[in-house]
Amino acid sequence: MRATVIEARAPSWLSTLGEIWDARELLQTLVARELRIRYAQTWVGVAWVALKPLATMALLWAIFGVAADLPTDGMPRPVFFFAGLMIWFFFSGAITDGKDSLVANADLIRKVYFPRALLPLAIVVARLVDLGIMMVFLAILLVLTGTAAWPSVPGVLWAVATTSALATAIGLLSAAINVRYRDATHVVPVALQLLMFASPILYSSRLVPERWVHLYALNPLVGLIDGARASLAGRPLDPASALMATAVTLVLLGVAAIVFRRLETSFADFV
Amino acid sequence: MSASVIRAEGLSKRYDIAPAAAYETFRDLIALAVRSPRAWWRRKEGEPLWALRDVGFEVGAGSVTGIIGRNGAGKSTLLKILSRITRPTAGRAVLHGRIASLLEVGTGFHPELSGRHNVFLNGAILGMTRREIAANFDAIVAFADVERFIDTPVKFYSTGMYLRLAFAVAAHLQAEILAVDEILAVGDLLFQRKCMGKMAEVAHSGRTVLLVSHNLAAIQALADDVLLLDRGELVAQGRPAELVTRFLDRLQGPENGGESSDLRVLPRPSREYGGLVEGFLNARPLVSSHTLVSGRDLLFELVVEMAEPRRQCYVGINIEDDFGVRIWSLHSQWQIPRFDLGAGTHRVRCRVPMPPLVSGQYHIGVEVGAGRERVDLVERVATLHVVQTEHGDTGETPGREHGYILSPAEWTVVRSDVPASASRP
Repeated sequence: MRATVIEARAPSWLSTLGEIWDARELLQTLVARELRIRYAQTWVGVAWVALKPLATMALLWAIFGVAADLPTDGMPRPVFFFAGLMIWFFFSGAITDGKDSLVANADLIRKVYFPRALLPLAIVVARLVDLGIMMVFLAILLVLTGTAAWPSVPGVLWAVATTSALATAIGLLSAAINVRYRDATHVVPVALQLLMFASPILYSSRLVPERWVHLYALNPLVGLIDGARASLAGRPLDPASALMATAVTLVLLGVAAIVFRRLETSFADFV
Repeated sequence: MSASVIRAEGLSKRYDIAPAAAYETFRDLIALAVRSPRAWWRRKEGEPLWALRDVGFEVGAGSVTGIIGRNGAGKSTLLKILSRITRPTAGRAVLHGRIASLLEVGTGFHPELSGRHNVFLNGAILGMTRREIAANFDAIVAFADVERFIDTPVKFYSTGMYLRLAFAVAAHLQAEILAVDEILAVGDLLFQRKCMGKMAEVAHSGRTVLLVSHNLAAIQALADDVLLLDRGELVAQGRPAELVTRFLDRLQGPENGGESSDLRVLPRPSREYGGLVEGFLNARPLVSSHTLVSGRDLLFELVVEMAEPRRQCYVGINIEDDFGVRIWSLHSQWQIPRFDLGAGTHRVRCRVPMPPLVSGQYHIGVEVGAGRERVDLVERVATLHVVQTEHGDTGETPGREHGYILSPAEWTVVRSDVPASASRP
């Protein structure tokens, strides 16, 4: 029988990761709960997921369709918008739910032990399911617009995996801070709003002035969205921008993991 | 004693109680950092409060350990540390086996989900694998008696159905160690009895159980071993009967604060003519919970203040069970003639031998009447916990299903199939 040691200091990183792995069934159950609750008592159900980016895309198409000279990285305009929006809705949705994932489950945290990181993780996984649904619509869009090239699968997978890691990092961080300082929940939407304009969603990153490009590229969403668009058009990733996005994401993930572990000990006392 | 399943050494837990001007928001914290970085660096985290201090003990495999102590003694903190909900500030505990904590019935139940999905969700949260839940699913649903509604969202369940399903999941946990807090206090009488039965079954199934309860009768009935905590420290570990008595003696001590003798603030129908002002039981303020050992005398003292003189008065003390069924009444007019009370303050005392009540919880109400009219009535002023400590050594005590009265009967058993003279050697 395995012995559990309870001490003041945190268990090793290895055993923390081992615990999360052991609790993967609970993660599945939490993801299922997330999805079931979201789609309970909705009539259109799953279609809601795609409706939001589709509507936004249509709106943008209508508005920017007039200004025909705006660059779209050589893609049909609807595909250009939808690809950016898809990544953005996945990311911002995961953060919006993720930041409240601990506070919303305060009763669980106070009454039962399980690796706390499962709660923000479950949100990201549930949102990945949404992303999958959006990608089906994107595929339809690609066919309808008659895009010639086959999308590059490794590039798309890289974009999805890295965006998930980024969403996990920000989700862990904001959820942990939100337990201690409840106004974090109000800071996040404002920050997201700013981030949206600092990311190439409504416009192409080629519009950014030369002298700002390096600063701009620090935003990992720049490399991610550009990379996703390039992969969808069948073009190779731009190595510099992809590496930058990956590096920034990994650093953020490391910082988030350290902060989360630090604050995790007192969740039950503050939540 | 068998091998220890839990071994705790020097467990301590400190909480920092936030001062009044706590920086609870991000905004305040940033504002402070901008205004005065030094103050920010030295900001006070709060007053330290030791919820648990240097607690060490061992729990043997398959034993049921009761944890008792008054409110704030650290019982729940200890369970939370052992079930890893919160980490100790110092000390160490080693557990052999999976631990499942039941600090509340229905943790994680979601109203929008069906009974079926909630069973799987709740089971997973409590640490069961999906295979274990599936294997026990039919038993859980049958125990809860909700077969017909298992695919209905639980928001449509009655409270009773909800609690039954929640307890059923908990009762089928497969963990080697169960940490249980006050779980027996849910549901109606019938279901409580079923829960008690199930708890006894779990307790005798070879699993290790940690049980926190204010219900000393339940502790006595179920536990093999008791930890007595007081103000975060372990006072003693030992046999239930012995420690329950010791705990009661401590409770009766003068230092038990947080209660009031003032009856004026309590809700009642009307008291325009005056009425009950203060009450005491055994010289302790009445408004609180009292633990009484059957067989000892009770001394009530009530202070009555009359706004105007009334004739033909009486004073009554009523004892009810949890469901408002009157068990026992003491009314002055049955022993002494009705009396006249002038305007002003009066003291009424009543001494009575403790009736042989069965262990459990009762409620006290008090009233004053004049003629056929009730001047003042306050219901459920205080809670009475009755505990038997002097009834035989059989280790068996009656529960509520055996009624309210436990008499010290004498029993003899003799053989009667042979003539009495022949049976003697």
